[in-house]
Amino acid sequence: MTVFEWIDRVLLTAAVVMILLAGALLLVRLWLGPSMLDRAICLDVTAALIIAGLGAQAAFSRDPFYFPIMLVLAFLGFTGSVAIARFIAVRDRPTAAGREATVEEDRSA
Amino acid sequence: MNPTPWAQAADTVGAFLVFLGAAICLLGSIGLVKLPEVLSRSHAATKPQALGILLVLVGVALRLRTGIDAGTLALIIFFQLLTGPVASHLVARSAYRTGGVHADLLFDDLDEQLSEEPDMPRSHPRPDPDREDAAPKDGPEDGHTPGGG
Repeated sequence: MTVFEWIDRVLLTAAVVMILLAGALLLVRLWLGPSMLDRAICLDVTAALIIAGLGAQAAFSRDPFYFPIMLVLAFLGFTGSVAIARFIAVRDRPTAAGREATVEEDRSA
Repeated sequence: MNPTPWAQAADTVGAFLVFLGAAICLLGSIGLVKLPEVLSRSHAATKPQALGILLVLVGVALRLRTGIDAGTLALIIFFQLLTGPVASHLVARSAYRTGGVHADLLFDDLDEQLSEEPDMPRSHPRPDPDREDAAPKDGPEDGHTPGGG
């Protein structure tokens, strides 16, 4: 094993560790998030992090086995947050101040 | 067998790009935790979604170096860049309409469009001197186009 392969291995391991750390921070925001929209944003970033983690795994083992999962996540990962933004967050008003609430009731059709 | 120098260079550059993309994912998550409200969190959330994914997948393509794998990765990048703005737009729109944004935004062009009287038919616009002062370069006859939908 040459020195370059060691460098590759260290870089990829550090990449996986950083992606795991990012996922842990994302769980913090998912726990704290005051509204459902914050959690919807977290859902999007979760899909992106899963794609990045599978990509790091594919780079480590030189194996394209998980590419279809990454593809499906890339074009279906946004549907959950769209559903939350469209159907749930309208009823869930954490800080329904006067101006925005009246505007919402006037224009919600 | 020993890899050729070009293959070795592509491997190392690919690993470095994966590392850089993972670092950008971590930065985006830190911003997602630290920033104060929905719109700025959405700003932080686009970094892993666009640039992080792009760098990681380019790095994977440099390490695999096969035509069909590169095509699949290009397709993943394409769909990710296509669907990210859709979700981001809907989340920001819903955040604005449910009052999840701060009241002291620097620019809020949407407020005066949404705060108008809602049930005015577009074929009979009421002459409004404030509106004409606000948008002098538009034609004053046909009102203004309603923003959003």
